[in-house]
Amino acid sequence: MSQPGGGGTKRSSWLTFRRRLLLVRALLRGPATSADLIAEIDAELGEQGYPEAAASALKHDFDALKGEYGCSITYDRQNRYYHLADLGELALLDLPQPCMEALAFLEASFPEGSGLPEHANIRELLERVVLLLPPARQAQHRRRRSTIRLGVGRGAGRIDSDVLTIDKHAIEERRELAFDYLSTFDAEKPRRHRVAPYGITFRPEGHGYLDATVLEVTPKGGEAIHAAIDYRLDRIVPGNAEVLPTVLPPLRPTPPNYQLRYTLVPQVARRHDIAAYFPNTVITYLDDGSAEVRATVTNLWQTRQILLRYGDACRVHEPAELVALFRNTARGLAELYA
Amino acid sequence: MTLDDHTETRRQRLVEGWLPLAQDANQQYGWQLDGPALEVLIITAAPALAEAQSTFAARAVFWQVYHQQAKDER
Repeated sequence: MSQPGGGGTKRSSWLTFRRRLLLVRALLRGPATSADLIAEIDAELGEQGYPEAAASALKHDFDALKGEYGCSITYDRQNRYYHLADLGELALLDLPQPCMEALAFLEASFPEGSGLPEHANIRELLERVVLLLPPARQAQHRRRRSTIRLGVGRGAGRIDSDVLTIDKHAIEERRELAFDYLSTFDAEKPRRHRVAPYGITFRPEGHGYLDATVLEVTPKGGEAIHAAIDYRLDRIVPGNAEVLPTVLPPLRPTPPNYQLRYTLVPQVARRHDIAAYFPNTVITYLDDGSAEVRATVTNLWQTRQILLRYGDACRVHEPAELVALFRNTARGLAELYA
Repeated sequence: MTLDDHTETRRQRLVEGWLPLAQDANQQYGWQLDGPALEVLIITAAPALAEAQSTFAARAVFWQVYHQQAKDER
């Protein structure tokens, strides 16, 4: 590209080269129109950006990138944007074998078509990284199958990104939040919940939850007003969640606090490695090999879900409300399997 | 309700919400943290957890905070 000559020619060759690299960098971020690309290059290079006949200089740059470096740049006529399909000789990223294995691991853990927003972003990242690899390494990567993969909440439903943004906004602004929610008990129609939102958490199975205090539910259901509820984010109906004008007081209404006590049979407890799933957990290992666990909880529904993993190896003694929940569950299970 | 009660309520809900995932990471990565250590992990990680958009991101936060704590203790 550079031609021997005076300092001015060298400088101009270098500038052209730099401009073309910037162009590739801009296209690596995503498809762009010619106006976007010119604006971006001009913002970066200032007066040394594109000359007056910018459109034809841009076309000239594309031709050079295709001809000299084997880049494949396509034009989408309908949307009027350019798309970088292949970097050709500019695929400058190469990776040692362990990193190629890591790339295969990420591919296996976040396969195409897994709908969660975070997976979609990881796919985008992976696609960009793979694009930077030389063709032979790309082919090697496509053939490789990772033997290990991460199990992160594959069964979770899709969380609407607008719902997540609105929820976070309400939490940050400390304001009331209203949304339609389809709970386990709502057979067909969702109900409107007005809540005081306090945080978002994710559980091992992949579900995301909004931690909120219930203020009002329309039409009324079994929810106790001022109870702390973990709302499944994927069950909040997209499109009508709203941050309300009412600012919340600095003190959260106190949810009822329960002293939890349960025992685990010797088969589960004998190794003295019982997991702590609740705040203020105190574990006492007993002489017969069993264990007694005490803790403090506010959410009995969540507590039941967690303790159910022990099956019939766990017996809840306190609080009475949780024992009643387990009795209902046991009755239901007995009807199913009798 | 005093300010201390309020702080305790917040701590309780925070720990209660995040403990299942923290415990899962604890078991999966073999950290062998007990209940009180997991609570410290959650409280230390709380500001970053508030930004997490997914289980994956939250796990990464726990991972980072755990290793930072281990480094600080050395």
